[in-house]
Amino acid sequence: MHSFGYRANALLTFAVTILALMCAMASLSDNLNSPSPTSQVQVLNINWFQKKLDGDDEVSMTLNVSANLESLFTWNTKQVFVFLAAEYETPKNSLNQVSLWDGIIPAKEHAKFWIHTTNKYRFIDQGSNLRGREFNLTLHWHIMPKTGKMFADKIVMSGYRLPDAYR
Amino acid sequence: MDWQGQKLAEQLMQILLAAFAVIAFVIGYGLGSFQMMLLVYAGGVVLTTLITIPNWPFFNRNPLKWLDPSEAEKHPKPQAASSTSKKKATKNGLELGEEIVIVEEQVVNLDEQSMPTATLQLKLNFGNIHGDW
Repeated sequence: MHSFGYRANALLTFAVTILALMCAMASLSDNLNSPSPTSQVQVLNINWFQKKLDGDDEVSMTLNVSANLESLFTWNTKQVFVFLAAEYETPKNSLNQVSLWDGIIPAKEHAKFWIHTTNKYRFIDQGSNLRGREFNLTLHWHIMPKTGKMFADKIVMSGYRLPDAYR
Repeated sequence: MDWQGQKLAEQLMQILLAAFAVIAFVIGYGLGSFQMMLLVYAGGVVLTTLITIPNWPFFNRNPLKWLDPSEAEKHPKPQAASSTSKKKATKNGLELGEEIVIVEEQVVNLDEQSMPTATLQLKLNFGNIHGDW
């Protein structure tokens, strides 16, 4: 501690170490939060449903996604990444998961929303298995923190079914 | 800064930083604002820098007593310190023939009178060390 440089170095090192500890505590405080999100998805319309030239099925649909994700936000949340996936089973794969729509929620004020849209990403099967297929629409989210651990969870909404014939 | 001052500076730094960290966390968590926590903590770091790094007078309340140069001139340098010699001594408690190996002839008494001796060595080996560290 005998010179300015020595003291400045000791002070800065200690300050940064303590800052790391504060960030760790902030991340741990996220565990105290018990979120209670809700969501609902309606398939308003099947726009078209065809078998492509390469043999794979493709469907386009109009969706109404509404959700309340306000309880996911804490003081340590930077943003919430949310996406809607169609999940179904085929003879070849026990689980097929196709992302239809995603979005970024930057703040709590925008966390209660509804959106009326066609699927943002194409719903294409690996093969020709979609006629009459029953599928779940699952809303996944990733709570991205300002510092520390990222939490991910989902809500499964079941009971959706594709038409029996191409349109 | 003198030794006591350096110790005080180190203790002050650690206590101030830890205290500001706790205060900043409580404020940030209470307000629900991560940014507030960082701002309060940054303010605390700046304040601690201003208190502990510059050479304030209250850090120099126990200054080291260096010998005045004119006083040192009056005491000449003693003989060379590292001379090895063996002596047969017949002091009390020793068998005849037992050897005592004396490495340093010089006996350094640290009383007021001969204190200058050690200080004088310093002066002649390193130059006139004076002033603040």
